[in-house]
Amino acid sequence: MKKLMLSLAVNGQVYDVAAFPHRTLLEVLRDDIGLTGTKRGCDDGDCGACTVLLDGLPVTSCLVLAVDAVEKTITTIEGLATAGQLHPMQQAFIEHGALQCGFCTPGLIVTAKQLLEEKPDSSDEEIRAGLAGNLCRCTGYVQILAAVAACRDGQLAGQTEAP
Amino acid sequence: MYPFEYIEPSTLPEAVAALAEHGPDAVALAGGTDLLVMMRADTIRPKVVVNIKRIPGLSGIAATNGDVRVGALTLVRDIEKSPVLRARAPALSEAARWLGSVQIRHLATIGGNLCRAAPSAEMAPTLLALGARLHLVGVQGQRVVPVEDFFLGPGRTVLQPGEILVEISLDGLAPRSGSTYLRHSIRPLMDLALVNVAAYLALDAAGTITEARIALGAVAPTPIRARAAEAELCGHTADPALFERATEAAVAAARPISDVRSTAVYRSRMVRLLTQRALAQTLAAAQNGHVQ
Amino acid sequence: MKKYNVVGKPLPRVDAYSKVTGQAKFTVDINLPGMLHGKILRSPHPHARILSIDTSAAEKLPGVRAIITGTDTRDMRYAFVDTPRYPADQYPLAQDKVRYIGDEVAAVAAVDLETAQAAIDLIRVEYEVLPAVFDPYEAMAADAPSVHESSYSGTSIWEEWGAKKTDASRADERVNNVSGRTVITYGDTDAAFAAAAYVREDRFETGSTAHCAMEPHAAVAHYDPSGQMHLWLSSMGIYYKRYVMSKVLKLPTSSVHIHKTYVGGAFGGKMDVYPYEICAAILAQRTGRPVKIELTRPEVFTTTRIRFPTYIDIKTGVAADGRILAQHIRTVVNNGAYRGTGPVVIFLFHGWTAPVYRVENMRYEGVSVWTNNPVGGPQRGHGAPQIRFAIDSQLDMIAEDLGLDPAEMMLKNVRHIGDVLPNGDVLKSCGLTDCITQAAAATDWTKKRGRPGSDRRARGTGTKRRGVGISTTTMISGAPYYPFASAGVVQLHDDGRATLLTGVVEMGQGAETTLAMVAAEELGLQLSDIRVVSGDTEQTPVDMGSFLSGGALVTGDAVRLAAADARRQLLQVASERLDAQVDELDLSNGRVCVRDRPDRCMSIAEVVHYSIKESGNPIIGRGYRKILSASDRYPSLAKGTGRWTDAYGFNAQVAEVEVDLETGQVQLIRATTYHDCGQPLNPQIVDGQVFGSVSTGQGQALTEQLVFNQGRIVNASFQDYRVPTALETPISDGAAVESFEPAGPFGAKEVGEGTLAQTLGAIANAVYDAAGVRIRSLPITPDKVLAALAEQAAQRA
Repeated sequence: MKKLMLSLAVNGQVYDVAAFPHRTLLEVLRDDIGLTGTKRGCDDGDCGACTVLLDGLPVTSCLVLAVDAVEKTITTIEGLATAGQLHPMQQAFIEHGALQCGFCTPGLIVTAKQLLEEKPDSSDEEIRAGLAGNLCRCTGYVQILAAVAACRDGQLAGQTEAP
Repeated sequence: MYPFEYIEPSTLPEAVAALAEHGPDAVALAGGTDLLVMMRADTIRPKVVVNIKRIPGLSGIAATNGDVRVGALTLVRDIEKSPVLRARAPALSEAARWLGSVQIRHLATIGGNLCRAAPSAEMAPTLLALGARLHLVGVQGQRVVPVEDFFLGPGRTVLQPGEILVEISLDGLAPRSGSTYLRHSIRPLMDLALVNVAAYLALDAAGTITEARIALGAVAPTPIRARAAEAELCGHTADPALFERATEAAVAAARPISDVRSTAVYRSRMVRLLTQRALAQTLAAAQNGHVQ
Repeated sequence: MKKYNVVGKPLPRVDAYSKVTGQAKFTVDINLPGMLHGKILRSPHPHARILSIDTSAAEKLPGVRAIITGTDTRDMRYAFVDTPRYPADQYPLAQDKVRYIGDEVAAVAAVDLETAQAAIDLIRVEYEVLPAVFDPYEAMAADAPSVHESSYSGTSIWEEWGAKKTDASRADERVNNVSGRTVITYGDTDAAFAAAAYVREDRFETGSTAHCAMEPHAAVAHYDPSGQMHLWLSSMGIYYKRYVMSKVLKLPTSSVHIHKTYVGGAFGGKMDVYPYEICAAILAQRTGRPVKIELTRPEVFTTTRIRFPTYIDIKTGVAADGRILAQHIRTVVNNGAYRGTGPVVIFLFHGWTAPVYRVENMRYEGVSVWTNNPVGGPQRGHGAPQIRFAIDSQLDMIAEDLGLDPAEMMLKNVRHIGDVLPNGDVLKSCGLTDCITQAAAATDWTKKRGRPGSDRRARGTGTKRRGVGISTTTMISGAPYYPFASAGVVQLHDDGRATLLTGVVEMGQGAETTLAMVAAEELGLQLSDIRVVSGDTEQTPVDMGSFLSGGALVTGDAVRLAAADARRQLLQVASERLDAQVDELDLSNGRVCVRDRPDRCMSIAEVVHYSIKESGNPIIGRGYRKILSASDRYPSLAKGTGRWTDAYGFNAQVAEVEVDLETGQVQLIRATTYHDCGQPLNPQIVDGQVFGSVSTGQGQALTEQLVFNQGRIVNASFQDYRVPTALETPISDGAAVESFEPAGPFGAKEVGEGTLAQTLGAIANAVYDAAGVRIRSLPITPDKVLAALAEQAAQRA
């Protein structure tokens, strides 16, 4: 087996990585590029913790070979805040206490962000169904659903600064 | 995951050649949502992975005259959202909605779902009910297989080494017809179907059932047609007693097992329930001229 | 209710920013230079003798750095329960036998995961497969295979802390495979049953469930040349893990340094020390390089801990008015291959009984039994879900039999402030009555439930039926276990802000935030003025850990005392500078003022400046709190005697469900939870604890069950182990009832662990109310409901 030279465009930056073909996008993001915000919860596509945007669409990065992500754009949780300003979905999660342990949070925020971009007026039921692929054991989802609804409705209190 | 050799052909002949050369040591990679899971669990350990996703022309949905053609690499998410399918074969879009999460549907392909040949395959019953035909390309050239002849058992299909499913075609859908897909699982989403049922009914001007197809999933080693149930229906006008006889026949056709997900008894009851509902809904759709 | 400046406000979490941006470092995110990757070779058999292990081929594989087997851990017997009565029964790597599928046999460290896996594949183990036993009743038969033949000798770790070794307790442990036994009696049950107007006996059964913390278990170990063992672990209490790791590794406690990481959920599953953690440490010692072992999801399901499957028999005698006169409760627990916390959970079943309903005549017998199944351990509620489901299901049945409303019957039996429990614990706060009445009022209980005795089944039409049910539960606020105390340190800075040092592990429960709020309240600061350093054995003081629900009361009080100490010093210094007595000074909004003299003020920054310039005292407060404030002995697991907590949290829930009569499917529509956590420190975090535990309770009541086949878990994945998704989220409402716990900081006590257990009984009772079928075994799956409906129809015909 030989390593392949892969050019991956992550959060607007190109990373050149040498990786074996069996390495997943999740593994390369975490282990080779060092972007550990994307989490491995099950490695089976069942939990959604590894969700990233691939060409703008949410996918479970544990089920994507890194070599398959070449020539595509990749957005991870680290790419959401711009110039120190949180993305409104991040802000909504903070305001509504929509996180506890925080392990599922990156995948949820990435999924929810795209969900509202695709359909800004998503109904509550559409939000629930759209987030069904992101398991969370801590919150029972109540505050997560409230956060996404608040984001949809533009009801955010402010902008949290980095501590 | 165990290491493998990776091949990324850019044309169909290259892909066919690569798969044929490595035979049982090779697998074709489409969406990967089942394949990578199985490789990680070490239930399969291929030496060669042939990624067919960079081959142009294998995805997309096109409607010509009465026919609909769906590229095998079309994402399940695109099936779900396709205006063409929503109009022409709404049951297929409906089925797509239930496959995994939105993240999975952005990776999984309709062809991959069929080639995986799971008894509960989400896309299979509807395609059986719609009488879909599968276009396979191999070293010997192209052949067309009715979807009901495609499956041999759990994880097994008629695909020969080197053969690739390239297209699914739906043709001959009657003007006054309807189709329905229903499925049942413990969790409403993110759960494999314990039972799935699809039905297709075509009516003539007098309302007599001219064509009927009922497909059942997760109750046999492969998705199956309930032919005895279909025979009950053809040539008759719908009424509750007729549908009840057809439902009984569908229940008799099912051979469910008890496993980690459910019991045979429960599955059998769900076949009855879903078939009853599917027939009623399909009749209503056909009467409304659901498919033009 | 007293008004506070910070406490009681729904302030955003201090860890939120780092978590929403992906910056928070979890254990799995730790990567060190030169780090090796470890894998564990596990038993494929439920019970087998190891005849030989051949590692020679694996050792020759390029990239393999170390391989260890049972012989390398021969002197490392350990366990969570290690008492004179119940000596430790586990080794990091199997000695002569493997006892369940997944038991650890060997461990490898290699340059990458692929090489480690290849090495594992090359290790040859010769097994003699032994007969195995999976059912606890079968396991107790004299001719059943013995899971543990050897008696374990030596000194248990609890003897270091004063537990006495006696011979008396051995006699009743002669039953084959019995790993623990608890017998608790008080009153005169025979006489009380004889006097009862109505006696009812029922059996209940609960399946096994998984924690499903989203972060898989992981360990990173690095042994530095100075002899310090550095560890990054999945943990709920670093001081407990440090203690066990040091004992096992024969290192001084202070030579084991557990570094801070965020922990991605625990729910009980990350309390115990696991073989993979010890293996990582040994491999790090052998190689001199950092070693990381991250479990796969199937490994987490199989080889960490599971909820104990339990059989519960309850005989209850009541007076005609519904007062419970006597109970005889017998529990049998499938302990799995090692004790885990088996002897603890059979004690806890009674522990979650006595504080809820006052039952003066009790005979409780619990037995835990070794089998060749995966190992049971603590899981959110630790026994409460099982026993509360059983007790409140039966109460619902008795109420119907007697023509009573179950909520009314509960109110006749619940405990009140001032009650003294059979073990001597005193309820200084107890909002159970308020919980029940407010939950009933908020849900229109009386109307929804109908008059007792009315045929509820006649109410519904159509194929979907709604019903309501109620259940109650309780939880401790800390119990004595190593390290027996929590401490806190608060250092003030010359900018007027403060740093809180606490040994707590932030695993999602919000401890960093609530503890900082306690410190801020005491110091008259804002939450944003407090920086929190947590969860590091070298940088933060001792902490009891977050597995006994003592975070708010015990650690919270330690932090309050630390802040109070800093405050005392601050005021002392200020009194010199402001030329006033300490008791004339007020501290609020970051300023110290002479009372009623707004012209004579100093900011905290100015006081700290002054203090450093004058005396050099930078103002560092320290505080500590013993877990159990007053006790002369440890509670007895075997007899239930001895005090074990300072305060109990309580709650009641009304669940509303919809039963689909055609599919048997049960949907939780609404869960209304009223709970008594004393003064909520942060209502948003409290809400999150309640919502989360209700969701887990919903899953465990309806869809979650580990399925076993000959000791193998056949659904060790999130695909087939069905935790609730966002789609099934019920309406979750309710509130904290007005309450104040005098033993806790600002009146606070436990929340978040207890609030799971009542959901199971409430749902089971609601299913009965909706469909008229009583499901006595969890989970309430559609096939059980349909089968019960069919039986019901057959009986009516």
